[in-house]
Amino acid sequence: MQKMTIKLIFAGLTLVMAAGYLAYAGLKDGWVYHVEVDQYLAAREMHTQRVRLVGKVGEENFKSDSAGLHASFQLLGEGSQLPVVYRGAIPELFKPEAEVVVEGKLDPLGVFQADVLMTKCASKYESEAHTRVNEGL
Amino acid sequence: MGGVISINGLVGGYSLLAAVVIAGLTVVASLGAARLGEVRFHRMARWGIYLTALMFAVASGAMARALYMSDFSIAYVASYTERALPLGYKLSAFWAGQEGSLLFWALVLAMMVAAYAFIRRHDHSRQQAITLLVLAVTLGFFASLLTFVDADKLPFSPRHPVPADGMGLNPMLQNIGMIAHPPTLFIGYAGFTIPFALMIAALVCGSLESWIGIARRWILFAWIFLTIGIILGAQWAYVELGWGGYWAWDPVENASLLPWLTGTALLHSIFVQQQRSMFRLWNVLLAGGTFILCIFGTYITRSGIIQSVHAFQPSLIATFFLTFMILCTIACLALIIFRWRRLGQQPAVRGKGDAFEKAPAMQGLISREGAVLLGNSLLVLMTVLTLLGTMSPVINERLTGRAITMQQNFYNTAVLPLALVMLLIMGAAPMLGYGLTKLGDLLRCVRVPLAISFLAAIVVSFIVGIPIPEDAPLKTVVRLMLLGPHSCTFVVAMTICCLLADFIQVLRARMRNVGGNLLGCAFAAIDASHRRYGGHMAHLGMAMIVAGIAGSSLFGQKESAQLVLGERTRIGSYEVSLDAVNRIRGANFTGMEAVVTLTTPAGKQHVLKPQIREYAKSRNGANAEVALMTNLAEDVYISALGFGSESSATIQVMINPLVLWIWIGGLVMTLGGVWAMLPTLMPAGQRVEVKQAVPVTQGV
Repeated sequence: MQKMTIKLIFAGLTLVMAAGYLAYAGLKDGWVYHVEVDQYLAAREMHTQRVRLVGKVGEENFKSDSAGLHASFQLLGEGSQLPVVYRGAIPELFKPEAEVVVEGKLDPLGVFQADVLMTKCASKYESEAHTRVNEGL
Repeated sequence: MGGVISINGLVGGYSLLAAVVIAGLTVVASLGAARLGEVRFHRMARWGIYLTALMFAVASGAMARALYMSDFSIAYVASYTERALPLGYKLSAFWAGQEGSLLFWALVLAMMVAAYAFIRRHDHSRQQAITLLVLAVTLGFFASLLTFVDADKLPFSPRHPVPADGMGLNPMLQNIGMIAHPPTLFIGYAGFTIPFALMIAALVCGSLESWIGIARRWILFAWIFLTIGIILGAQWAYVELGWGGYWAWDPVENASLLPWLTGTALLHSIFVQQQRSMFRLWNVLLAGGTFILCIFGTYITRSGIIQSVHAFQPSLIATFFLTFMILCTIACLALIIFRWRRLGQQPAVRGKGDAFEKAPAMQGLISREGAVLLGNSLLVLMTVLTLLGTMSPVINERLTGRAITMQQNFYNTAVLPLALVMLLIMGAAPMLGYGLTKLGDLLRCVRVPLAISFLAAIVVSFIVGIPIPEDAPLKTVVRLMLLGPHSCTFVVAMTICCLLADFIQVLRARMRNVGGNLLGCAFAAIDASHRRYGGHMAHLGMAMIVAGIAGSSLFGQKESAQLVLGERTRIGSYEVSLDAVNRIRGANFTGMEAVVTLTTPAGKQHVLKPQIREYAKSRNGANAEVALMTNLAEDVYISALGFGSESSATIQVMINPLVLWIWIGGLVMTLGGVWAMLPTLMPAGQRVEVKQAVPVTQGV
C-alpha cells in the first residue's frame, strides 16, 4: 500500500509537471495585449509586438471594399488616432462610428497592419454579439 | 417601477414573490425535518418544493403568454420581440435576455427539484431533509434574484410608455439552433444542483456511500443535456456567425466546457465508487466543483469581467452569483475538512458470506480503476488549464494593469495534447479489468487494435501528409508532428478498435454459451449491460468528434472570390459559378441572395444561396446567412461578403473536411448517455446471464 501511494504521488507529480510545461509553452505565445489606442501609442514596447486594439472607426479617410477584401481607416482613441489597414473579409457591421477590435502589428511607416477585424454591436442587444473573422477552430 | 402593469406582469410578478416566501418556508420546514426528524416536517418541506415549482411554472406561463400576445407593457417583451417576429422566435425570446434566461433556469431547476422530491417522497431520513434544505436554499436564491435584485431588470418590470412595437430579437438569435441551445444548457446546469445537494447532505450526515446511487442518474441526465447544449452551441456558431468555425475558446464557450469536463470525470469515478468503493474524495470534490463551475459560467456571462462574444451586459446579478459561488465553495471545503478522515478511510463492504471487510484498495495503475484515475486527472488538469486561460486576462490586469487576450494558440498547445492522451486511455480502458493487470496481458489484448491503429496512422499520413506550412517555426513543426493527422488517426482508430474488440469478445462468449443469431445476440449483449455499452457509445461519439475536429482544423481551406453573373472559378476541387443575384424579403427582413452553383469533382451540381439580410428592427446593419453543402467527407461553406450591384457578388468559400462527424459524434454521445440511463429492455424471463468476458485477467 505504501508502495502504491508513492507510485500514485509520482504519477500525479509527473502529470502536473507535464501540464505545467504545456501551460508555460502555451502562455509563451498564446496571448496578446488587448488595449485602447491611447494606451498603445503611449507604450512603445508594444509597437514591435502583435496586439489587439479597441477603438472607434473614424469617418475621415474611411475606405471599405468588401469585394476586394480590403479596408483602411483611422482607429480613434480618446485623444489620439492610428491609421489601420486591414486585409480580409469585412464584417457586415463595419462602418464609420462602429466600435471595432483589430489585431495585428505596426509597420515601419506607423500604419497598423491588421489581419483580424471584429465589430461590436450597438448596445441595443444585451447579448453582445460580435462579428468575427479569421479566428477559432 | 412605474407604469401600467398588465395581467401577465401582475401574475408573473406575484408568482415570483410567492416563490420567495414559499422557498423560505420550505427552508424552515427542512431544518425542522433535519433537526426533529418528524414526518410532518418532511411532508411540509416536500409540499413547499412542489408549490415553489408551481409558482415558477405560473410565472413562466405568464411570460410565455406575454411573449405570445406581444404584451409590450412588459419591458422584457418589448426589448426582445416585435410583432412581425415568427411565433417560434417570439417564444424562444424567453431565454434571449438575462431576465428571461434566469427565469427559465429557475423553472427548469424547480421542476427537477420537484421531480426529485416526488421520487424520494418515502425517504424521511435526516440526509433527505438536508438535501431538501440545500435545494430549497438554491430555489430561494433564484426566486430572490428574480424578485428583488435590480428593479429595472426584473422579468416583469413594466415598460412606460407602452410602445406600439417591440425592438425585435437579435438577428443572430433568429436561428433554429438558438431555440434549443440555451434551454439544453440550462437543463444541464440545473441538473448538477441535485448531485451537489446530495453530496452536501452526505457530508453533513457522514454517510459517504449511499448518495452515489441516487446521484448517478441525475448526473447522467445533466451530462446528457450539457453535451447536447455544447454541441448545439457549436452548431449555431458554425451556421450563424459566418466565420466557418464552431469553437473559438471564447470565455463563455469555455464556461460551458468546464462543468462538462468535471461532470464527465464525475460520471466515471462514481461508477468506480459503486463498483469498488474507491474515489470517495474525488466524487465529493467533483460533485461540488461541477456545480460551482455551473454558477461560475453564469457569473462570467453576466459580470462583464471578461470580453466575450456571447456575454450579457454587466449586471448586479453577477455580484450575487459570485457571492453564492463563494459561499458554496466555503461550505463544500469546510465539510470536506470536517469529514477528511472518513473520506480517506476505506469503507467496510460485505465480503464472502455475511462478514464485512475493508474494500479493496487500488493495486496498480494498469487496471480499470487506474485508467479512470488517470483519465479523471487529465480531465481535471484540462479544466484547470482552460480555467487558467479563461481567467488570465483578469489575473493579468489585476497584476500588471494591462489587459490581455488569450488566443486559441494557448488552448491548442496546453489543452489539446492532454485531450489526446486522455482519448488514448479512453480507448484502452475497456480492455482493462478491475484489480491489478499485468502489462504483458494488456499488450496481448491490445496488440490487434494497436497494429490496426498504427497501420491506419501510416496510411493516413501517406495519403494526406502532415500540413506543415513552409515558413513554420520549429515549435509549430514539433506541434504538428505530435498532434498531426497521424496522431489523431491513431487515437481515433485505437478507440474504435478497442471498443470493437471488447464487443466482439463479449458477443463470441454469448454466441458460444447461449447460441442464437448474430443480431439477436448483439442486442442481448448490449441490453444486458446498459452502463457498459452506453459508455462505449459515448466513447465512440467522442472518437468521431475528434476525427471531425482534426479534419476540419488541419485540412480546412478558405478562399474568397468576386464573381459577376455567369462567371466561374475553381476553389479546391470544386467549380463555383454565380448564376443569379436576387432581392429577398422575409417576415421581418429584406436582403440580397447570391445563387451559386457548386459542381463537385464527380460532376454533381448543388445550388447554394448565401444571403445578406437587413432586419427591419436591427440598428446594427446586415446579417449574413451562410449556405452549406454537407456530406460525410466535407462541408462546402459559402458566405456572401458583399454585393457590388445586382450583377456581382463577393463570396467566401470554405472547405471544411469531416465537420459532419462532429455533429454525428455529438448525437452518438448523447444516445450513449440515454442508453446508459435506460433499464434493461428485454423481459426478465427472456434474459440469459452470460458472464461478461473481460479481456485481461481480472484482479483481486
